[in-house]
Amino acid sequence: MTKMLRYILNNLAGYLRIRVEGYSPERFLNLCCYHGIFLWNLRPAKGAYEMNIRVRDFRRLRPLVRKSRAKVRITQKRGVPFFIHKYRGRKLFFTGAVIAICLIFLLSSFIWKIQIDGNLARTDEVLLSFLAEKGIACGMAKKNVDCDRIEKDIRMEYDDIIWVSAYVHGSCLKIKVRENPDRKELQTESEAEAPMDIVAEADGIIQKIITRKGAPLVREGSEVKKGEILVSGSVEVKNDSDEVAGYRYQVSDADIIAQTTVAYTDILDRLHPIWKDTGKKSLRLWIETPGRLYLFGRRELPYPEYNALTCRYTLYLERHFPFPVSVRVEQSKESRKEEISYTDREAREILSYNFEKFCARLEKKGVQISENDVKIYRETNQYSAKGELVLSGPFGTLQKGTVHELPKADEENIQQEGN
Amino acid sequence: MADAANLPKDVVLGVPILTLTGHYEVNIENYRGILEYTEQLIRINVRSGQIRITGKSLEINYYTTTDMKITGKVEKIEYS
Repeated sequence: MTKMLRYILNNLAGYLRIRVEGYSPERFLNLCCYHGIFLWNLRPAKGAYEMNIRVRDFRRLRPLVRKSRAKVRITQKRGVPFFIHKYRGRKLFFTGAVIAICLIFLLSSFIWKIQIDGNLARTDEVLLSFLAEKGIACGMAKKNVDCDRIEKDIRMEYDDIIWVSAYVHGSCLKIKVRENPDRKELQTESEAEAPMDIVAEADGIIQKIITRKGAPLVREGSEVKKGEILVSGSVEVKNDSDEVAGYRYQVSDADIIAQTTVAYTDILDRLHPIWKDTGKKSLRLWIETPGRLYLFGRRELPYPEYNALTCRYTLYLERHFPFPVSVRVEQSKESRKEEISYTDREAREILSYNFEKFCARLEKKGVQISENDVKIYRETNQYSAKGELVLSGPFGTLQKGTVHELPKADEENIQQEGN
Repeated sequence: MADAANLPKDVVLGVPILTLTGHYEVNIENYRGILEYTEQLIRINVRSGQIRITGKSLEINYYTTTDMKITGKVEKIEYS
């Protein structure tokens, strides 16, 4: 460390490399030492010595040189003062350097990037626009950022965000959030003020029904129509004389497997458009600052239809210190639409691939395909895959049930009826 | 006497202190001056006589009134 420090200090103050020759250069060295003149990197060189000496020490050498009858010659001048002296004519260079340093100081007092981590349910844009409403945005002064306030605001606004940490790193505001994914499920379970029924989403035959909550209204083997209630969320409470005394409301929960018939159609036009490059290319350049775009190049491309690839480059001083300026480079190629017709084989392949994907999606949901008569037909201008599928799989959707006129059954009511 | 007074010997007797780090580096304190300096030989004047350091590509890193540092490949250190 001291070595490094000495190196920096010597460079700042400037030093000389000198060559000492003569009758007894050793005497000269000893005299320097006696007078407290600091010498370093001393090296013998063909009957002479070369060494480094500070500029202010060099001015004190004259009497010592005379005494030792040595010859001293400066071979090199090193360090900042000599560098500045050498390039003193280049005023613009120095002004530029000073301006650059000032700019870095000035610009580093602003926030240039907001980085959000840990958000899965909400996109960065949602959170950024919320922050913008609160006055937190790119380009604001670093001293105006109140991290505690940000943490509080985010927690207040979003219920499912259970933990927030905000801090400033360089010119980047980092916000880390943690979400609670179980929260919604918990809420539905506790809500039982209104009944929730399970209704049929299509016509079908019930194959299996296991009810966990609610009153089942259908049995295995019963045919149901679309919209029919399968499991009711309002459970009747009867008194001793078998009369309905009230209802208890629940969120129905049941495993229902049903057989349904689904029509499948997939149509493919014989002609389809493809984009072909014509070979014409052009390049456009933008310089982007927060809220502004400056275009370099043509405003309008000479062709109406094109494919463009835009890359955005941002300059970083360091990983957490992006500059507020970025460059956008757009490479565009003219392309024209052409209509091409499929061959029979291609069409067949595409349609069967689509159908396989459809089946795979169903199987992923736990649906089994028991019958399938989908066929591919060739028509004048199009191909089509049509047919019916008999499926058996999970059935029923939750729907808000009707609230009955009879009073909601509570413990007291039933007790009274019982007595 | 130095032992009895519990004083450091280099101060009382004015003898040199040599600190060797492997054979690449020598630190010398309490010396009077350099008598000869080449890449193969450095002769140093001390109160009790001379120290001869022989080696290869010897270099004096720094050189002050109190101490000096020599680097290079040290082969021999002799008193005379």
